[in-house]
Amino acid sequence: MVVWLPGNPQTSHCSLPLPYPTNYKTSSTRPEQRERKREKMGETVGNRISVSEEIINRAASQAMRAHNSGGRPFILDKPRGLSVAIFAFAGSWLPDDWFTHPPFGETTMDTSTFPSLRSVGNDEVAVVNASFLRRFKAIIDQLSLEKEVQKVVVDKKQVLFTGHSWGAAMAILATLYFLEKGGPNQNPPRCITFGSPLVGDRIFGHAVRREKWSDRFIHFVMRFDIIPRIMLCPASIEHQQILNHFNPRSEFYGKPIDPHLAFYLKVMGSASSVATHDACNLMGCTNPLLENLRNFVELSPYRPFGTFIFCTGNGKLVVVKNPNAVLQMLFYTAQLTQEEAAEIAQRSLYEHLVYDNEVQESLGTQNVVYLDSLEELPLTSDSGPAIVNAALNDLGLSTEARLCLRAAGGLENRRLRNQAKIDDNQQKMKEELSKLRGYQEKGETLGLGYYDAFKSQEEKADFDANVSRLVLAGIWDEIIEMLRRSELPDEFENREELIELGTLYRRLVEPLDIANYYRNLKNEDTGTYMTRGRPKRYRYAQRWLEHAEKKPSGWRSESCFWAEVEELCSIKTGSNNGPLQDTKKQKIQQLQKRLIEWIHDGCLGKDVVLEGSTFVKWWKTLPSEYRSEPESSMIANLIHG
Amino acid sequence: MSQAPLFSSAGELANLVVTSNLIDVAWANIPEIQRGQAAFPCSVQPMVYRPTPNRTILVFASSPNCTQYPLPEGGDLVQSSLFQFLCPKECPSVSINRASLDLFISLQSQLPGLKTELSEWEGQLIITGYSLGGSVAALFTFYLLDSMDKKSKCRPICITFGSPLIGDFGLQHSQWNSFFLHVVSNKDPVPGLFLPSGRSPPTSSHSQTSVYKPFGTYLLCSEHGCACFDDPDLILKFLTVASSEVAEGLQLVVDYGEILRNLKYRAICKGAQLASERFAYPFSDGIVMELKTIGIDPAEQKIDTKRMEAEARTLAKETKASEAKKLNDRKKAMAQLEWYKKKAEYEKKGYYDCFRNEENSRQRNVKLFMEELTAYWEEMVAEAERKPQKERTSFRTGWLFAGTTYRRMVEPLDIAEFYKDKDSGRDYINNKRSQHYKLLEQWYEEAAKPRTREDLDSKKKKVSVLLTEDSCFWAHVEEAILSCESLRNANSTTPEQRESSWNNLVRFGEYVMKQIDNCAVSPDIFWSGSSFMTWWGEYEAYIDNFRNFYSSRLVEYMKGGGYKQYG
Repeated sequence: MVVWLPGNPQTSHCSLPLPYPTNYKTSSTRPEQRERKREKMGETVGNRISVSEEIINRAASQAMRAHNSGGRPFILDKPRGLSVAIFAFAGSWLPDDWFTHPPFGETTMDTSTFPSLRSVGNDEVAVVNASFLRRFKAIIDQLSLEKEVQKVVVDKKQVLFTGHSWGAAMAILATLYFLEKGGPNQNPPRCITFGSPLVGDRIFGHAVRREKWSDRFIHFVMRFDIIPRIMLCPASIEHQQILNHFNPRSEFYGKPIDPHLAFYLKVMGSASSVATHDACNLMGCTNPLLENLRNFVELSPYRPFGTFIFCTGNGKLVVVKNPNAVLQMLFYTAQLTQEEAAEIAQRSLYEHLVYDNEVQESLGTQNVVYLDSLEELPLTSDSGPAIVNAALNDLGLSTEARLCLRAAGGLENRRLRNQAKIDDNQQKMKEELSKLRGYQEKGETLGLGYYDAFKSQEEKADFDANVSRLVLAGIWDEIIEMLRRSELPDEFENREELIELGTLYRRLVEPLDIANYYRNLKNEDTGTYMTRGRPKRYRYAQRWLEHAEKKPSGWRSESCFWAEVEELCSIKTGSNNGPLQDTKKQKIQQLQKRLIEWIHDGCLGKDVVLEGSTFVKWWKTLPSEYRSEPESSMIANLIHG
Repeated sequence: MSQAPLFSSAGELANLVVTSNLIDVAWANIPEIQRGQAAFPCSVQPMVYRPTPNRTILVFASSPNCTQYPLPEGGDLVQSSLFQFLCPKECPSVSINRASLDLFISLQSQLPGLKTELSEWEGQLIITGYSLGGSVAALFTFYLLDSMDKKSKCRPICITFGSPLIGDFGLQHSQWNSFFLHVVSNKDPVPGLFLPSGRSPPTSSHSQTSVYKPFGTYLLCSEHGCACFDDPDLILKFLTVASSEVAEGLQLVVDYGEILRNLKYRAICKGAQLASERFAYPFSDGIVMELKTIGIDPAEQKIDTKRMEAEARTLAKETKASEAKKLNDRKKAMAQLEWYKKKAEYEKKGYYDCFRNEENSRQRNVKLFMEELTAYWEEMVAEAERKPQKERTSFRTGWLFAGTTYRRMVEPLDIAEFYKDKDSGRDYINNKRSQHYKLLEQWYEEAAKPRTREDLDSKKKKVSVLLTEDSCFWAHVEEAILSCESLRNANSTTPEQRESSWNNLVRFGEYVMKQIDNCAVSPDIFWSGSSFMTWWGEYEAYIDNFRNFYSSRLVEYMKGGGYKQYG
């Protein structure tokens, strides 16, 4: 169901009377001051995030309207004169739409609809709020969204998803849905949210950044708004109270929450746990107690991602991209002062409903601060650039908070340094690889494949190859360990250069690891190479390639060819036709098929089919029922020529 | 490259502890129980609660008398055999506060049952207590941890409130620091009670009290906030200040419930926005800020933030990522040893005997690799031992297998060196064997799966490339050779010695045969000139001459030439 609504940016966000005092607005900037400031600041927000202020304003008013549009899942707005189509999602205050189950209502991401939302090497699936996902899929199932988006794409207009509050969560999932589906020549959709709750976990954000989609998401957050923090807190009575307060159908609608401070303390207490826990990690806390605490403390999995724009409440905007810094700010900017506790608690509700006016006003003054170099952030309220400091003071960031932001910046810089260190190592890696390439080629000319030569370890060259193998293993294991500990930039696994080098390395060197494994009979006490022995460095490299090529898991297993051969060799070829024999038969036929493909693709070397290789010797002993045509004669051809 | 910036996370960790509800849960039942206890005599009672299906709380409730007058005469430290297991390498003994120990011992009839029950518990276990109750809780936690193995699914934490220090230097070095959290208010004189400069009551042996040391992590609280520290010197200073500043008057009871409520509120209140103060060093200036929050003046108390920063920096450097690289570097040394073995085999010399008999540059090179490897693995094993919480449970399979290969490769060389030196004496296994080999072997045995018949069949085919499984095999051979010598030199040995030598040889024969049955020895032991064959020559000569009727499976196997088909 799509509704055309004439745009009216003056529409009020809230037509029902709410018991808020009207003097919260403290914007004191006069028009002439605005002009002066715009000059001083240079870059406008619109330029920085490449969406015009006009469109942002439009999105804000549409988002607020859609929230109350009741019944329709979204409204579509194609403002005249702008090359954009704004899809604004409706909201919901029903508890079931926020939390399916306590404490945090999360579920693993549906990877068939959102295949990218996982970590590639570590292979962990992102976590998302189950209610949000369920409701979003219901919207998709109605098909109208997809049809309308298609039309807009045909019109060559920019697709912009937006939403306020619960609707923002829908907008985020919609954006991801179309980013996943997007073709290479398509202008990817954008997303602007207002007062959005947190939607996904750490891996969710990591995946978005890895895919370089992070810049597509802009989140506006009012300094005290409770909703962007609500997901940090486990489901509780207080949650219910907050939702009821906003829900026009509830008897508690618009009424003060009783006791007036408890709900705020509850949410902020949980936010504090999450923020301080992450801060301990950012700051490199070495106290062993921290490790043990994790067994006892249940923390919300949700984390922010994308570009956050904090509205100070007095017309200033603070733009932050670092997700760890955003989390810290979600907590620290909303801290209480003892004198104003009651007022702040009330403000945390009120501010959730004033985005359209606040954003419009702030965009007008363009009093913007970009927190980019977090490591240089001033720690005291009167040091560093005055304009930055003024904004930090307006957000109420204490020295403690600023230390956390610095630590967040420090982690990002450390990740970049780690990446640079790996880049420095590339030359060394290439050298070792070329030595091994020479070893492989020499084997081919001598008629003994490097797999078999390495397995027998007769010559000095085999020993040297082993040393090269170990040098490379050291470098790659270090990379993998860094990935496991999130010590590399999020985009790291999406770098073409790395995927290429990893593939080269895997195809050339993994056979040596397999040879080494079976040479030392590790299959005897440990298990097969594939199940127990395969080093992570190869698993990771394979997943990088499969992810880049959008292929299913296991598609690029050519470097494990020898392990399959070794395992098939060790199963006895008996005469009985038991189920074991049937599986074996299938496996052998499958292997023959893939061998031909791999050799044709050039991802498996010709040394495999040299006359004396383990494979050829074994293949020749296969009874005829294990072979099938035409593969069999093709392999015979490969062997002989 | 400039040094990475460092931060003090003492305040963050403290706020995490405070806002996470964990200590509220620990404290929840204490006030009520406290009221229920009879005032006299001074006693402590364990009580178990199970508020949720996966959480058990064990409270050691102390009687009010005990809480307010914590046994003034019990302030001295005594050694206790009960806690001897806590002794670290660095320290020969552990001493425990007499008052706490007496209370602990008074519960001897109940504790073993409690321990058995709780070590089988799968879930969270919070052990807690107030004042001396907390001291007993800590002692019980040690007692429980000692009996838990790594497979245990019980996850304990000990949280004490206002408890006096319970032991000396020995406790501080315990490997279980991560399990202890001590909550202490700067208004509470009790934790610093036994410190010399504190409000210490007269004790029987005052001089001893100066060696009390804190262990674990302290949550230090003031009315302005809190911070978590595990630096012993800093904690001692805090305790000293607290106990000397609190006015005389033993009636004082500190309400930790109220303190926690205040701290929780503080945690979400805006902290200070420092102005016009120099704040150039995130770490040291951060610590100064944290110390001021908990009411300590770092200058007055001479807190050495520079030392703390240096220590934090050392800890931060030890990252996991480089550990993976280190392991691979050691594999390079292993490849060198393997190559040495290979070359020895070309010359038809066994690896062991080649090393034992050679004296040249090649052998000296091998020694360098050996040293490198040994240094590395000794450290790894020691590390794994020290941190039961993290490492030992996850001493990863990969490492364990690398460690096993190392042990099988390098220990024979250690044995060769030992027996080559005629002054070493005898019995490598009991006199010289390094602890890290023993542990590596023990962990491997624990992790290895039992073998099946089929495994053995396929192993038989490939035995030629295997390393001898028992890394002490050659030590047994050397001992057997010495036993043969003692039999042969009948003049210089007593009949009892000869009898025992003979018994040794019989046992050795059974041992070797078992190894052969299991394909657990490398075929190179049968090469001519090997120590094993030397032994066989002497042994065969001896039985031919003196024990003509003796036979065993090994003797038949060797005489029948069965070994020629081995491998």
